[in-house]
Amino acid sequence: MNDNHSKLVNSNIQEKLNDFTANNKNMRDFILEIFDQEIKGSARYKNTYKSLIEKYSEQEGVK
Amino acid sequence: MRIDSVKIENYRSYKDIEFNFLKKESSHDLHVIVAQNGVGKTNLLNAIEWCLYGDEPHLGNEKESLPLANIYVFDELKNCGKESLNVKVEVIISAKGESHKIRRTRKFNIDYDLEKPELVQLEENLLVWKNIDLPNPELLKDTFADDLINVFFRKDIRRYFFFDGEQLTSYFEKARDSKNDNKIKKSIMSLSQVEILENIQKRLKSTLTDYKKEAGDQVPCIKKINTNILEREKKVERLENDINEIEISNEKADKEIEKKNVFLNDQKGVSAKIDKLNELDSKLNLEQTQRDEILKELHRFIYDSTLKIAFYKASRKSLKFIDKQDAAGKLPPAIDKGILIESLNSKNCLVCGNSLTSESKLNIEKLIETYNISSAASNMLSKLKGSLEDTINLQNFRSDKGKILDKLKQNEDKIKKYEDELNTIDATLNDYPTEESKNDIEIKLRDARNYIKAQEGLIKQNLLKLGEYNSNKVNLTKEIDCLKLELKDVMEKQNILNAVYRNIKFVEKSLKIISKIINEIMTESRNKMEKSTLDYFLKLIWKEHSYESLKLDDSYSMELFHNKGYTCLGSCSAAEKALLALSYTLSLHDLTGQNSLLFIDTPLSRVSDENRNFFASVIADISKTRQIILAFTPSEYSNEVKMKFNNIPFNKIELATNNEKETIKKEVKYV
Repeated sequence: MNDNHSKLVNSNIQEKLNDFTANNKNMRDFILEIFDQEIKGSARYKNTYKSLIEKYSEQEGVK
Repeated sequence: MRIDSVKIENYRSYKDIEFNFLKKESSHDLHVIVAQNGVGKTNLLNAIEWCLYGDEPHLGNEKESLPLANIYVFDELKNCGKESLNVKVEVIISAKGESHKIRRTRKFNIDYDLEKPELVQLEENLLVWKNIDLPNPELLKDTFADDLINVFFRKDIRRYFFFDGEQLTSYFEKARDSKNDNKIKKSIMSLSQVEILENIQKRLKSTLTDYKKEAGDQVPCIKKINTNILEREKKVERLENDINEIEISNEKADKEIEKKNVFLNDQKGVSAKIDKLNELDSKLNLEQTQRDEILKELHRFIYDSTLKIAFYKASRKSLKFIDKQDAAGKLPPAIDKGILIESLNSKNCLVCGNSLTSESKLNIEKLIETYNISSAASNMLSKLKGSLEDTINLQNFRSDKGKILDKLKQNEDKIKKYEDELNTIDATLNDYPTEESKNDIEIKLRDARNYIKAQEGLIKQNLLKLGEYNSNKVNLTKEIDCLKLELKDVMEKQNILNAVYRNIKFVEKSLKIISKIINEIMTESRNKMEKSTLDYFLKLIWKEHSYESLKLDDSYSMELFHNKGYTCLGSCSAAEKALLALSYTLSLHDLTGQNSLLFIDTPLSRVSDENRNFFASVIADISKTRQIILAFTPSEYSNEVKMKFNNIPFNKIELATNNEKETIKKEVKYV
């Protein structure tokens, strides 16, 4: 995601997400990406979810 | 957004008409339609909603209504032998400089094969032209057309754009019909994108279950723990549903109690009188019981006195005889035989303490012998004397009789007083300015009180259940937490630090964040709407100091608080409720960004004359920021209202009927 920001998410959600993921850019990017995919209608299949989870959880590792 | 024009063909009372809601730049956007009842005001509102949504919510009972198609047009076509009839409503809306045309049509065939020709309904079509000012406007059909309409006039909150003034008083009761019908909350969730977050939440949870299953397949004990967690989570979900149902039930019961209390308060005059009647009735009963007692006492007194009088002479003679014998010393002496016997036994005089001599002993023995012979007669005479003295005592006869009679008189006075009061109240109740008799009112009051008691009983029972369910929920949640810890422990022990475990942890973490975002946004939205509704209301209302605060619950149902702390929505007047509905609506428009028009049919039907000018000035003020269409009856469009609208420019359309067959525009002017 560019600059941790989605064009599709409203500013209120964006603001809250920034607050709750202040120390976790990876998680913020994951939620924004899944949000964008939902709006575009492309995240309605489990495999989209699974591939995004796997991609971002691997990047984050277990903390 | 606003409605620029409405074109109607063959719809109900309309044959062919066009309404242009023109607005001059930088001016008020106010439009007044004036028509007698039954001429076509509500039909216009229904026509707009039919065009946008395909139904007619203000129709009342559809089955008992005339057909959608104008019956006089049908007659004309029938006489000409035409085969079909089209009903068409076209609405042009504009927002942010773009205009869109929405057209709904329904075709009817005329079936001449039947004994009496009838309209047969055929297909219905909805078409939307997007950006009609462009050379080639895009044409949308079916769900795409619905979607575009929904962007401007969300169907689920449409009653916050299109008002029926007749229903304003029951406006807030509909906010929460059931947990599945919470349209306001759903709309806010949708408009604030929380709905999308909820979808994400659901899908993440489902994916999480898959990962857990996968982990369980690798290690059997994990599977068992997961099953236990899942079972408990399902139980918690069921409990949450039950808790929600109970809360709804209690809210309903609270509202019912409030309604009945309003009814009882409305009947205050009658209620107080009936309370007084009951009080007087019980006092009267008490006095009547006392009168019975007093009468018994009087009877006893008379009986005793009669006996005394009858035996007075004989008694007096006997007493005299006894007194005479006593004076002559012919009655046995009053000696305590016990002292004599004891003195003899102890050989000492118990009176003086000296030892008894032989002579004294002989005297005492003689005395005892004498006493033995006379004691029976002596006892009998002394008892008789006492009775005779009592019998001839008639000195207090008059005063005793007077006391009892006074008591009786006081009692009878009270009875008369209570009976008079009862009669007066009875007469007032009979003259009470309702058509209902006192009995009817009494029955209604009693029923209302019993109903309140029953509802209070229900709330009490519900609260007991609620306590039990909440406690079960807490226990289950604790168990789930323990199981999750156990799961974590087992996973770490099993060294399953593999991808599945990592994914589970990651999804759980993301779910927590999403849940926090949803909760914060929903709480903030509710708080904003509470504040904004109260702000609007206090600006609109004439009683600036009566209301203190306003609360919206989770379902956006409203409670208004009086400055003395009481909830008071049920006691608000129709005008206050209308303004509150308006405040709530404006606030909802702000929150959802749906800064739409307001169409209010018969806006002042429930508002009394003195509050009409206030309402009108508020509406005039609001029309600076949004389009307002008001459909008045001539009596509603009173001088007070006209005076308020006099200072601002507005459109006035007067409707009439053409031989009661067709609604026509009688007059159109830009005032």
